[in-house]
Amino acid sequence: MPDQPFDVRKAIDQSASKSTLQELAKKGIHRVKVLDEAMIQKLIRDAVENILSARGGSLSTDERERVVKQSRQELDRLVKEFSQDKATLSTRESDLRAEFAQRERDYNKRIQDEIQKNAEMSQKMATSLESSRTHEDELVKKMEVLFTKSLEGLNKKLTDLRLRSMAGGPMGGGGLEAVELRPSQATIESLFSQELESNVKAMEKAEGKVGGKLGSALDRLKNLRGGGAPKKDDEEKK
Amino acid sequence: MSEGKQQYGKGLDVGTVNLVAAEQNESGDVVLRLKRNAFIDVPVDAYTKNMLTRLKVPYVVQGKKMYVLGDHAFELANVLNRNTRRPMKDGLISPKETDALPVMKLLIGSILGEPRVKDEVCFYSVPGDPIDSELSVVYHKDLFDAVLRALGYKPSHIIEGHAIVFAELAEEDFTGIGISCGGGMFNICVAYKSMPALFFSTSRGGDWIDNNVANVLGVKPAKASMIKEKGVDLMKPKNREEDAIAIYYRNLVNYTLNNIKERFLAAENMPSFPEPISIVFSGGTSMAGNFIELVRAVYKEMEFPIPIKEIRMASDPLNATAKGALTAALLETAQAAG
Repeated sequence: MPDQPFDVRKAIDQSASKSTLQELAKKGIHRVKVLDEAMIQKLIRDAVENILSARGGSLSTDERERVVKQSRQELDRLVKEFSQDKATLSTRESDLRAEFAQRERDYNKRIQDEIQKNAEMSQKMATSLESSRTHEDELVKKMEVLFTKSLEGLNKKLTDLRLRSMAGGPMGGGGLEAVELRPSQATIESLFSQELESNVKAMEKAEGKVGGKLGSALDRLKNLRGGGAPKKDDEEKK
Repeated sequence: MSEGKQQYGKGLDVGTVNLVAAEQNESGDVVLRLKRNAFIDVPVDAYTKNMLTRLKVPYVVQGKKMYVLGDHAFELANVLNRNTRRPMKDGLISPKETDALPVMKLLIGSILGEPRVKDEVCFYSVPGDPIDSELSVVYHKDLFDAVLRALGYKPSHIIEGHAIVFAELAEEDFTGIGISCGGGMFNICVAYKSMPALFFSTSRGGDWIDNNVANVLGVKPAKASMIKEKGVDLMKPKNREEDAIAIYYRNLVNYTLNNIKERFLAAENMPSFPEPISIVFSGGTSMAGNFIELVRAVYKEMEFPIPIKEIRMASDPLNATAKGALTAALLETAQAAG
């Protein structure tokens, strides 16, 4: 029999297997028996006392009580140690959870910030693209107008040249613009003011021939040019 | 025509070869008077003057010269084997014939007569701006305005092609193409609802045909003119002379239609014709045999920018311009009367 005290904790660790509630549930174990510390101590005490009783009178009452007391102290120490460990672990767990939560919040915030920044940059880029496209469109339109005007001018000149060349071309040349001689009214009237010797007036006015009638031409023209109600035949045709 | 009230106003076709005056009488009939636009100089002496007066041949004395006027000048030229002198050339007053201006006044006065009312409106025909010569129409207009004022009329003018539209396209709402084929010029007008959209003239007419035919045949232009006026079938020429005439006619028609096409396509603000229109030809030069058939044949060979339903001759080819001018004068008189 060894002389060192009996390590209950070690004994429980060594002999027990750990399992989660979920695993137990998977195994179909939905109800477990739970022993608390007092119960374990009682069991150990009972066990020790049973053993001591079973061994008979080899141990005196004092020796028996000393064994029980030592056992109890050992158990207390183990339980206390376990409780401390448990508390420490629990605190550590809380700390870790808090830290995790904080980190998660931090990360989320950073992600949101990044998303926001990206959105703002996209918006700026879109605005800038739109503005440069509009500016480009305006430039293109201006250039189109300029080109069209100069093409029209060129076309007119070419058409004029073509028509002139097709028509046989103008007579004369020279770089100077033609000066149109336009006599004054007095000059022209003087050409006809002179009374000439003639037998024309003495003769009867030439016999005219009848060339039909104008028909409805004059009335139609009046209607088109304004002034005059439409004729009945026009209304009927409508 | 409105019954009862006489409508005043006269039309005058100022042609290179002929002058034609038109007026409406009390019955509403159109009365036409024609005179050859020509004169010839004859010796000045009392005997000649008496003889001419007895024979009712009109003459005028200008300085040391005496001229026989109109149709008699043409007849005398034929007898004397001489050429007549013409106050006009290529559709406009001839700058060389300065003596002709008083002659023109007398010729026009003889067919117009006195105005029936004070300042009776008289519309005279003028050519459209020529596209193939530098001749100006301005001096021509100024002169005829002065002639008519001197005769007591209130002058106004109408583009010759437009006068054809007035005379021949009334049933088609004055929409179509009127072409006056004169001796000196062809006058073209594309009109839409009586408004001229495009008008111009070309300095190629009957005289151009005569001169070119005379050139290739080695004869005088008067001879070529005589062959033409004797009667030639432009679609079936029978001899070398008729061949030449037909060729130059075809060339002239092609030239005219192509100019209409080019000008129409080049011009801005041309009307679009929703319905096909008619082309009407008038004038002495268009009276050659099968002229319209020739035009139709030439038209078929080209892509014309305006839809055409009919190509026809004017109902009165020699007097259409004068009638159109008369219509314009009557319209102005009616509008002025309110």
